[in-house]
Amino acid sequence: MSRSRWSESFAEEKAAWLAVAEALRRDESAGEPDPLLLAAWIEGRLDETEAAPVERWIATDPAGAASRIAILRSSLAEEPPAVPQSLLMRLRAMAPSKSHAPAAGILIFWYRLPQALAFAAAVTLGVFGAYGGYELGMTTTRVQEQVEVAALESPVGGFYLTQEDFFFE
Amino acid sequence: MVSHDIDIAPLIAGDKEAWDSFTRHAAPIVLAAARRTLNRAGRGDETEDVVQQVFERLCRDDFRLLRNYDPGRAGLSTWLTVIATSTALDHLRRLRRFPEPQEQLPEMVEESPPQEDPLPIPRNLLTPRQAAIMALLYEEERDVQEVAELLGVTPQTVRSAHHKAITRLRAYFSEEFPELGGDKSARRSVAPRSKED
Repeated sequence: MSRSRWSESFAEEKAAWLAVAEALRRDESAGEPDPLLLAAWIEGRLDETEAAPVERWIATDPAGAASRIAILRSSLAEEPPAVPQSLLMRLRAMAPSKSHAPAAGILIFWYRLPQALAFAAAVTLGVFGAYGGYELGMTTTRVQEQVEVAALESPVGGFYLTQEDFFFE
Repeated sequence: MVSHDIDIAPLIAGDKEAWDSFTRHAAPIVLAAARRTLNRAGRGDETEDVVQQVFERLCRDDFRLLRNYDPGRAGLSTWLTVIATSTALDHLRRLRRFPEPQEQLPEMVEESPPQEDPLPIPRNLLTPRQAAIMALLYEEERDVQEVAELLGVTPQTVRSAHHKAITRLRAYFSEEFPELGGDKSARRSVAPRSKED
């Protein structure tokens, strides 16, 4: 195939592809794939069906995707560099302060035991105090009633009032 | 390389030692990917900031990103490299948003072609793989070997997919647009037809 014939064929094929690409980009916006999917694709773990979202992304953004994939492949091929100690210290300091689930829970309870006991004692005292006060009030009322009834029923100084006296007075 | 024996579970549970071990193993991977991405844009001096951003992303929302990682699907090194390049690109995009000269906008508007009705081409005319190969060959103008390396397939796979794609395009254009003369139809596609066609 002569050079000019080849170029003509290339130009025609390119034009045909651009028409398809235009339609593809109009109909769908294939964004960057999920990081885990892209990582699996880079490692060659996906079959053609699973790889479709990644390949669609390449087809819709060939420049961006090619540059991104080239960086990924070359970064993975390179020997990991030494990390400056200062950076490593900063990264370590970023550890979120999060409690260890059950163990930390027990530990926290143990450290706060005196406060917990004091609180429990205060609540118990409060309950008992309230109950004692109620009982005392009730007993006093009962005694007072008995005293009043006894005073009404007992003849004092020859003066005795029966129930009838009240009615026929 | 981050070995696969790094256990994510204690890390997520908030174990400080697990975090220290993780940073020791993951930082070189993240640093390599971030530096490579930023160097291309001439911003290699911002690598450490981006590495820190990657680790912030990993910790954010109670390790949401790390919780989504599945060791059965991809290696931790590869996954971290993807996260690091993505964070570096986001960083570059954010920076570009400000110094981008406004006078470039009218130029871009001038270059965009007038809106005409494009050819009605079915979405499934080519498989995603064929479309990816065609895009890299014709838009990026890469050779077969480069495309194969980029996609992680053999050059034979690229040639075969390319051949099938071209055959399908020729068949489609000659069937749907016979007036354009078979494979010459491609020329027509450069100048989108109007509604009256």
